[in-house]
Amino acid sequence: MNRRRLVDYVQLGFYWLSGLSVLLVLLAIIAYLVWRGGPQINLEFLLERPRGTPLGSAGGIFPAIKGTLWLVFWALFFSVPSGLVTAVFLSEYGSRWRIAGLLNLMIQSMAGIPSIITGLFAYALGVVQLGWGISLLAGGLALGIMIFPVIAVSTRDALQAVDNNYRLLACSLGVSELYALRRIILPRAMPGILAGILLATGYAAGATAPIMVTAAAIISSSSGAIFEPVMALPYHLYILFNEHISMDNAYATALILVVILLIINMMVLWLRSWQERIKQK
Amino acid sequence: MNAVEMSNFSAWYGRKAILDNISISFVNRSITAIVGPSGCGKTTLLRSINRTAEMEYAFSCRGDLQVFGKQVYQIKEVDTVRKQVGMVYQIPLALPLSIRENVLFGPRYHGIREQSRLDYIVEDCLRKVALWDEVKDRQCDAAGRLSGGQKQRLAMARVLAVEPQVLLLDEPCSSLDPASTGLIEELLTSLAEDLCVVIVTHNLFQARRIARQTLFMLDGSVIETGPTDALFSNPLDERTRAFFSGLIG
Amino acid sequence: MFIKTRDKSIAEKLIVAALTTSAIIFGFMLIAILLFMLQESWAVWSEISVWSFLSGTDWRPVAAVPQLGIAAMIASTLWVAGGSLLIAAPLGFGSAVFLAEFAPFWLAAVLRPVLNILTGIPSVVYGFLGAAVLVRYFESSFDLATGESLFAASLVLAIMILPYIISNSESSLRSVPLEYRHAGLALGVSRPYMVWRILLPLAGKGMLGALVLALGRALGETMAVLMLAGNILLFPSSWFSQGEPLPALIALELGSATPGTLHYQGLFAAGFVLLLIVIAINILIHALQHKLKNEVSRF
Ligand SMILES: Nc1ncnc2c1ncn2[C@@H]1O[C@H](COP(=O)(O)OP(=O)(O)OP(=O)(O)O)[C@@H](O)[C@H]1O
Ligand SMILES: [Mg+2]
Repeated sequence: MNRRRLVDYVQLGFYWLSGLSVLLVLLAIIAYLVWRGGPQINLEFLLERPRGTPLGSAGGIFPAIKGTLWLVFWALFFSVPSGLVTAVFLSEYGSRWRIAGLLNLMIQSMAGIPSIITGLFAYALGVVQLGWGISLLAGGLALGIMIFPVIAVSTRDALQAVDNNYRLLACSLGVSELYALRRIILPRAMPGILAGILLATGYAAGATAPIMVTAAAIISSSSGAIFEPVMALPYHLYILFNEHISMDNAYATALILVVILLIINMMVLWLRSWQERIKQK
Repeated sequence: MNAVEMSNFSAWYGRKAILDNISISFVNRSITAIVGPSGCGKTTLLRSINRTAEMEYAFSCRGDLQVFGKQVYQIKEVDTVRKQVGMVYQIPLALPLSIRENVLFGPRYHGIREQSRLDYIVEDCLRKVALWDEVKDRQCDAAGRLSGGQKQRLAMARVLAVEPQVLLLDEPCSSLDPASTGLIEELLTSLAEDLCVVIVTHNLFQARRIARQTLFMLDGSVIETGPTDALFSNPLDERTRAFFSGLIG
Repeated sequence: MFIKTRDKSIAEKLIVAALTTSAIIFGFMLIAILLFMLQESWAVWSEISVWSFLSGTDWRPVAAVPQLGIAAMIASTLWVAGGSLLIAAPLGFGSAVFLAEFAPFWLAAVLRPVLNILTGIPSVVYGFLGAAVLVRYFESSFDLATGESLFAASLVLAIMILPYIISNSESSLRSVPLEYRHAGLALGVSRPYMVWRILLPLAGKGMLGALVLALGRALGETMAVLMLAGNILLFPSSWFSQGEPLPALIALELGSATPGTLHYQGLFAAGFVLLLIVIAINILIHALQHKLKNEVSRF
C-alpha cells in the first residue's frame, strides 16, 4: 500500500515537473535574450545600416527588417490567393468531387515538407530555370510555397467551422452559393482566416533555410527590387553568429526577431478567441 | 391545379430509407398540415421539395416530384426551385446580419436595387409577420439578439421577401406565444389565398384550426390523407386513430 | 410576382469553374514538386545506382572522379531526429498528462499559449541559443575541442518539437471518453494510477501519432542542425560524434553547386530522398488517424 502511494507521488511529481519545465524553457529563453540582447537595442540599432569592420559589428539592422518585410509581402502575395481559393474549394464545393479527399491528403502532406526542400525547389525553378538569380522574388516564392498549405488548411477549417445551417438558410432563399459565401460564410469565418494568415506570416518571417538558398545576402540595401538579393532578420542573425561578427548584435537581433514573433502569435491567439466568441453567439 | 405532386417518391440518407414510396399532392391556394411522430420524415419530405435535402451527406431520392407541373429533380439550376419553394425551418436562426439585411438577403441577390423598393419590402414583410412594430426602430441591429420567437417570424419574413409560390413551414410556431401564434395563423390563412402553404405541426389543434387538408405520416410513409375535419373526426386507419388519441408519438 | 429568379450569371459560373480548376492545380503542387525534384536529380538515379547513392559513404561531388553517397548524412539525420524524440517523448507525454489531468485551471490557461509561442520562435533562434549557450557549456565543462555534436543538435531539436508532442498528445488524451475516467476513479484507485492503467493505454495510439508527426518535423529541420551538428561528412560513430544531416548538406552546398553538374543533381537527389521520407511519414499519420477513428467507433 505504501509502495503504491510512493509510486503515485513519483508519477505526480514527474507530471508537474515536465509541465513546469515547458514554462521554464520559454521564460529562460526570453529572459536570457533580454539580458544579453536588451542593452544593445535602441533606436539607432533599429534604424541604421550595418557598419563597422567586419560589417555588422556596429550599426544597426534596418535593411534586415526591411528585407524581412519585403519577403513576407511576396510570400503572402504567392500564398494568400492560392491558399484561399483552394480552401474555399475544399470546404464549399469539394464534397461533390471525388478528388477533394486526395487534395486534402496532398495539402496535409505539403504542410509537412521540410522548409529546406521548398527552398531547393524555388532555387531550381526561380533562381536557375527562370533566371531570377538569388533574389527577393525567389525568396518570396520559396516562402510562399512553404506557407501555402498553412493558409489553405487553416482557412478550410475556419470555413468548415461555420454553422452549416447558415448555408442551408441562405441557399433556401434561392441565392447562389457564391453569394452566400460572400455575404455570410466568409465574414463569419474571417477572424479564423486572419489568424491563419497571421500564423503563416510568422512562419515566413522566421524561416531561414528557404531564403538562405534563394534570396538572402550578407549585405544589401533591401530596396525592394524584386531581382535583387535582400537582407533578412533570421539570416542576419545566422551570419552574425556564424561568421563571428558580433555576439552582442546577434543577441539583439535574436531578441527583436523573437519579440516580433511573440506579437504575431499573441495576435493569432487573440483572433482565435474572438472567433470562438463569435461562434458561441 | 395542384401545386406539388409526388408519386412513388422515395428518399434515402445513405442506405437508410427515410421516405418510402410517397404519393401525395398539395393543393394550390390552401393550407395542408402534416402531422406525425418525431423522426417519421416530415422535415425530410419538405426538404426534398425545395431540394435542400441534397445538401446533406449521402442523400439520394427516386420517383416523381413536380412543382406546378415541372419535374423538380430535372431542373438544372436548383436556385430557381429554392426561390419558388420557400421554407421556414425548425430551428429559429437568423442570418448573421442586421434585421433589415436579413429580410433583404434574397431580394438583393435577385436584383432589386432601388431604395424605395427595398424599404417597401422590409416594411411589408415585417408587417405581415407582425414583427414591424417590435423592430421598426432597430432595423439595423444584429438579428442574432432577437428572441427565439422573433427570429422565427424574421425567418418567415425573409422567405416571404423572395415571393415564393409554395411555402413550407417546419413547426413554425413551436417557440411562439399564443398571441403571435394566432397572428401567424391569420397570416398563413391570408397567404393561402394565393399560394400553396404546407405546415408541419405537432399541435393538432393548430392543424384543425387552419388546415384544409391534413396528412398523417408514420415511419416514412403517408398513412392517411384527407380533408382535416374528416380525418380528425373519422380516421380510417387504426394507426391514425391511435396517433390522434395520443397512443403513438 | 414582382421578384424574378435571377439566373446564375455567366460571371458566377466562370468564377466557380476558375475556383475549381485553380484549386485542383494548387492542390497538385505536391506532385509538381516531386516530379520537378525527380527530374533535376534524374542524372544521379540513372548514372549512379539508387542503392550505391543511398549506401555510399563518400561524398566527393567535385573530385575528378565524383563520389556521391549519402549514407553518412542519412545516418546523421536519423541519429539527430531519433535522438530528439528520445529526449522529448517522456517530457512531452508528461506535460501532456499534466495539462490534461493535473494542471490547475489557471496554470493550463497559461501553459497553452506558452506552447503556441514556443512553436512560433524561429528555428534559427533555437539554433543560435543552442550553439551560443549549450555548445559553449559542453566545451567548457567537458573540456572538449568542440561541443558541437549530433547530441547537441538532438537536445535543441527536442525543445523545438516538444510543443508539438504536447499539444497533440493532450488532444488525444482528452478524446478518451469521460466514462472511462469515471469508471476508473469509481473503483477507488488514485488518479495517477487511473492515468497509468486506463488513460495512457487508451490514448496510446494518438500519442504515438503525435510522436510520428514530431519525427517528420525533426527530420526536415535545417537551421538548428546546421548550427549544432558539426557539419562533418563522416559516418557518425555515435550520438556524440559530429555529422551533417541531409538538410544541412543541402543548405550549405547548394549555393556553390553549379547547375547541371553532378554535384547540383546530387543535392536534388538528396532532397528527393528526404522529401520521400517525410511524405511517407505523413501518409503513415493519415493512415494512423483513420485507423484510430475506426477504433473509437468500435467501442
Ligand atoms: N442528415 C441526415 N443524415 C442521416 N439521417 C438523417 C439526416 N437527417 C435526418 N435523418 C434521419 O431521418 C429520419 C427522419 O428525420 P426528419 O428530420 O425528417 O424527422 P421529422 O419527422 O422532421 O422529426 P421531428 O418531428 O423530430 O422534427 C430520422 O430518423 C433521422 O434520424
Ligand atoms: Mg423535423
